[in-house]
Order: sequence, then structure tokens, then C-alpha cells
Amino acid sequence: MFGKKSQSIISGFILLAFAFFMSCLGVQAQTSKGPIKIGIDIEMTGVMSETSMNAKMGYDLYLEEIGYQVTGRKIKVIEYDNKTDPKISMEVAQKLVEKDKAHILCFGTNSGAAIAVRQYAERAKVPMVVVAMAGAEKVTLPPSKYAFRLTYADGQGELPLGGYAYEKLGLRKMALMGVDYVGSTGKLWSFQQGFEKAGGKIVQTILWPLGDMDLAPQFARLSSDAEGIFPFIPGDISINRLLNQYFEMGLDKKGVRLVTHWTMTADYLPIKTFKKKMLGVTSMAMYCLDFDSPENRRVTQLYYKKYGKKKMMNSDVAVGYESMKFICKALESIDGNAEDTEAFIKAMHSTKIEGLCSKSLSVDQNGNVIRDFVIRQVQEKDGVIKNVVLDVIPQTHQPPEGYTVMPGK
Amino acid sequence: MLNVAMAISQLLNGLAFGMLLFLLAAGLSLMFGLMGIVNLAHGSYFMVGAFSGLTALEATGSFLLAILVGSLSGTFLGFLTERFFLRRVYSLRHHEPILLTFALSLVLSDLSLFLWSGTPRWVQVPEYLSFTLNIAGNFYPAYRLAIILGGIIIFVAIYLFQEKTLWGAIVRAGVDDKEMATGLGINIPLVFTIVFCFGAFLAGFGGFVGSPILGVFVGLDIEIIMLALAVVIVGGIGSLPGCLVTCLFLGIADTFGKVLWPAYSSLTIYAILVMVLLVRPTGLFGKGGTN
Repeated sequence: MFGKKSQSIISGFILLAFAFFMSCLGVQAQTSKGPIKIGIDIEMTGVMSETSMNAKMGYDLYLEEIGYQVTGRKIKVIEYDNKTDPKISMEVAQKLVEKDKAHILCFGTNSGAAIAVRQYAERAKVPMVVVAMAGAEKVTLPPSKYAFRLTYADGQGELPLGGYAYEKLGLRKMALMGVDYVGSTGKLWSFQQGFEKAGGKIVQTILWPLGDMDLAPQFARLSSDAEGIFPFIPGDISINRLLNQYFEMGLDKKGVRLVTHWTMTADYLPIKTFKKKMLGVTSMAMYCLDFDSPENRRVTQLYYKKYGKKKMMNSDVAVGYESMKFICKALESIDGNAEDTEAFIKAMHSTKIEGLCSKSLSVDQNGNVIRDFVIRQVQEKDGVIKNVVLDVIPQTHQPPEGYTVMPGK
Repeated sequence: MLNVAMAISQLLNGLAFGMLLFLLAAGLSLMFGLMGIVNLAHGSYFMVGAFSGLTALEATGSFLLAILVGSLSGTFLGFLTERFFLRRVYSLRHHEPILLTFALSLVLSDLSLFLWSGTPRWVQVPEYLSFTLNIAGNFYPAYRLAIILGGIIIFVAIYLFQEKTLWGAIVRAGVDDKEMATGLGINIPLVFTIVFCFGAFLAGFGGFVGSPILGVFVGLDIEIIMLALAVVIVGGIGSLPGCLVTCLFLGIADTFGKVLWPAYSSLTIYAILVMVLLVRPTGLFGKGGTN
């Protein structure tokens, strides 16, 4: 009745119709489930809001790029301000899980609060993902099935930076300076491990309480043996205070080098403030605007298109973008089936994405990110004072437990 | 641990910090002595002085003009506070003036946030003071030495004004006995306004001059007012030399505390405050009364 050609056409048509029917069923099934709910417990106000709101700009950028959907299923973002208050963070986490029925709980910056929310997420059996900063090792150590951190752990960058300072920058004797609290001493101790393992010597550790208004007395204590300083202090005001008093005491002119954490050399504040004085300051970072990769160029272009040039693209935005991309790729690999927590957790462990300044981003068995770190230095390039890439430390891991706890702290 | 060179450096650090405290606390102490009012908005004059001076510096590039603008903005705020707010509550004499000035400080803080945003800013030391001097083998910033010198000049000027001029005598009379001074025909409300404006002028001046050390940000007012209140409590009211000595003493004690017992250094000033309150509630140089 039909020729062979006609039979093939009819068979193809039937197959196409079947595929179309099945995909409609799939979409209907996804739609009937409602949207994927991502609850975000974040610092919109308070002392850590700057970092978190930058990260928010990053994850909003990614969600907009994918049209707020994964494999045809809509994504609904529910955000509440935790006001940088650990107590409110817990209340927000409970509200997101118990009232809003969030499938995934995302968290912002505050390490102390992240540790508490992690315990709650474990009890509630909801995956929790840190998308801004939270350095303390207790966020992912001891390992928790439900906790993921896509940013960094204390020591992850400081440890290799210590080795780099000895081997590549030629520093032999250094001093550590910082605030006497766990978020700072952990970083100092990690740097010391890296520096001393490479053969260097830490000649002095200077610590002071949080909230010190005048740091000149601390710099006046600095040993004349120190060829360089690794300082860390949290908060934009304190960072500027420390840098200002380092310059004011003429330490840069005396040749005492500054090797530090990326927040102390951010393009949008310290470099904008101190300009040429910052030349030569070396830091490690997850991000560098100057990093030449197609992904960095593409996302930076998207960022300026959406937000304008009022605020520079920065590390926090990059991390927010990468974190949301990671979550969405994991969801994509399970067809957006966010209700299946076990499958999502498994997917998080097998997901691998390209970062803005990292060839790949994945998580280790503890749920902590494995990523490249950039060693950058403030230089004048093309007439602009900015961070430029000196080197890349590939695929850094979170140091083992206890490695970031300074003895006696 | 503390060699001679380091001790000299730390002594200078203490003196510079003490001088900044003096610029802030001298006005507060005068206001308290004359009017009996604890002005919690005084830290706001310091902060607004820093912000306005920075704005002027960015617009003109002149550090001296910026100092003038910072000082005048403090004076202007002081005038508004005294003339339009405090005059209405002088007669109440209880908690109302404190609550009023506290409310004003909150308003000024939010207004600063609106005008200058929450991003912390920094004032760069002018080129001609941007160098270090070798003192006993240690490098010491010239700007801090300039603060010490400037503080001494201001103290001498105020002291001579207060002790050697008629206006100074009027102010002293007002501090000692307002009723008697009024009975002698002195226009005490006018004296109040002038002293208040002068105190605010000093705060605005200190705010900008201190900004290369402390920074410029919303919240500076709260940080600094606590120290100023500590000075007034430890030093007592009504004595300008007493205020200076107290500021220098606290500045030096705070600095050496940071060197000798860094972990507990934030307690140094407040430990002294508690001891003074227990032993001499009128303050080290107070003129009597326990109010």
C-alpha cells in the first residue's frame, strides 16, 4: 500500500509525535510540582552586607542568564535578611525550610552563623550551600552530608601563599599581624604553616582586640627583622586603617613587603583609596578582574551590562555567580528534581563547572570547593593601577582539620 | 621587650592620640561645665566635620581649606543644636537633654548615611606632611607630630583666652556660678551659644584632622563619643588644663596598654574610669559636687 519511502516518513512522523507527547507530559509533570524553591539566608544589612550583597549581584546575574529555570522547571528564589545576626540567621533558616518549604538552603557570609545553620540543616535534612564567604573550617569539617561550601575555606589560599612568599617572592623572615579572633588567627596560622614548611621563619605575631581605633602602636612593635608582613583584619574601615598606618609609618619605603588576603587589596576600595601606594602589594584570591579567560570576560561583560560601571566587578560577585551556576548545573543533571534530596547531594558531588578564574570547580568529600587560586599583585598596567595575575595555584583543597586553628586560640 | 626607641615611639603615639581626644573632649567638657548638659551629639560634629572636610578636599584639593570647612560645619551644627533644640529644654535639667541630643545624633548619623553613603572613606595626609622622621632610630610620621604640635598651640590659645581676656572671665564666671553671673548683667544665653559653637568647632576640627588616622565613616560618632565621655568622667568638669592632662594620660595609657597587655588593651581606658569613679567621683581635676 505504501512505498518504503512513505513508510519511513510515516514512522518518523509517529516517532516525532511520540517524543513531543512525552516532552509535554514531562513539562506538565514539572509544572505540577511547582517551582524549585531556593531559600537564601543572607546579610542584606549589617557589617557583612557588603560582601553578601555583592554575592547576591552575582547569583542574580546567573539566574537571569538562565531565565530562572532549569530543564523547563521554574526557579523561585526566596530571600530574607539575617542582618548579620546569628540568631536571626537561625530564625531565617527555620522559616525558609519549615514555612516556605525551600528545597535548597543557601547561606551568605557569617562563619559563626553558618556553623549553627549547618547543624539545623543536618537535622532538617535539607542541603545547605554557602554562596558568599564563610572561612571557618567548622562549616565543612567534620564532614556533613548536607553542607556544601562553594567559596573557600580558611587556609585554602593562605597555605599556598605562604609557600609562594618564600619560593617566588624571596621572603625569608616575616611577621603576622591581625585581630585576635578565630576568623583572623586561622588565616595567619595557615600562612605560617605554608611559609615555614617552605623554609621561612615567622619572627613575630602581633595580635590585638577587635575594634582598635589606632594601629600605630602595633606597627611600632614590629620587629626590624621582618622583611615582610602577612596581615589580616576584617571590615572595610579596619582594612583601610591598617593599610594607612602601614604607609604612614613608612614601612613601604623601608622595603617591608605586604603579602596578604584579597580583601586587603580589593580594587574597589583599598586601591581606589591608596592608589600608587598599593603598588607591589601581593595577595591570593579566587578572582582577579585582570585574569584572561573567555568565561571571565563574558561574565564581566554581563555584569557591567546589568549593573553599570558604578561598582567594579569583584571576587564576591564572581563567587556568587559561580555558586549559583554550580547549584543549577547539579539540578540540571537530575532533571530539576529538587525534591529528591539524595539525588541532589549526589549530583553536587559529581558536578564540575568552569569558574571565572578557575579551570574547574568541584567539591571534595567534605562538600568544600576545590578550585584554582590566583596570586595577584598590584601593578600599573595600561595606565591603570590594578591587581594583575602573577601566578595560578591549581586546584587547591581545604587543609585538614585543625590546620587553621592557631595554638592557644 | 620595650626598648628606649620603641618607648619613645609609643609615647609619641600616645601623645598624638591624646591630642585628638583633647580636641574632641575639650568642647564637651566646656559644654558640660557651663550648661550641665551631656551632649551625646558631640561625636556627630566630629564625624560631620570629617565628612564635610573630605568633600571640600575632593572639590578643591586644599587640605587647609578642608580643615576650615570641617570646623565650620561642626560649628554650624553646634549652633543649630543649641539655638533651636537645647534652649527649649534647659529648664528641664533631667534626662530630656540627654535624650534629645541622643536623638539628634541618630538623625545626624542617618543624614550622613544619606549624603555620603555607607562606604568608608579615607583622607590622605597632604604631601608636605607625608614623610617620616628618624627619632632615636625609629621612623615616626610627621603628620602625628603635627597633630601634637597643633594640639599644644590650640590649648595655649584657649588657655590664654580663658585666663587673660574679659570673655574668658565671663565664661569662667558662667561655669562657676550662672545665677550670680546673670545677676551681674552677663547675657548667659549668648555665652551658652558661643561656648557651644566653639566646642562644636573644635570637634569639627578634630574630626577632619583625625581622619587620616581614624578614617571617615558612619559610626565614627559612636566610636569617638564613648572615649570623650570617658575623658570628661576621669578628668572632671570645668578645668581646661585638667582636660588636657587627662586626655594625654588616657592616650598614653591606652597606647602602652596595647604594647604591654595587648589581649586586654581595650579595657585600659575603662579600667581607669572605674577606678576614678570609685576613688574620686568628681574626676581627677573636677571642681567639686558629685553630679
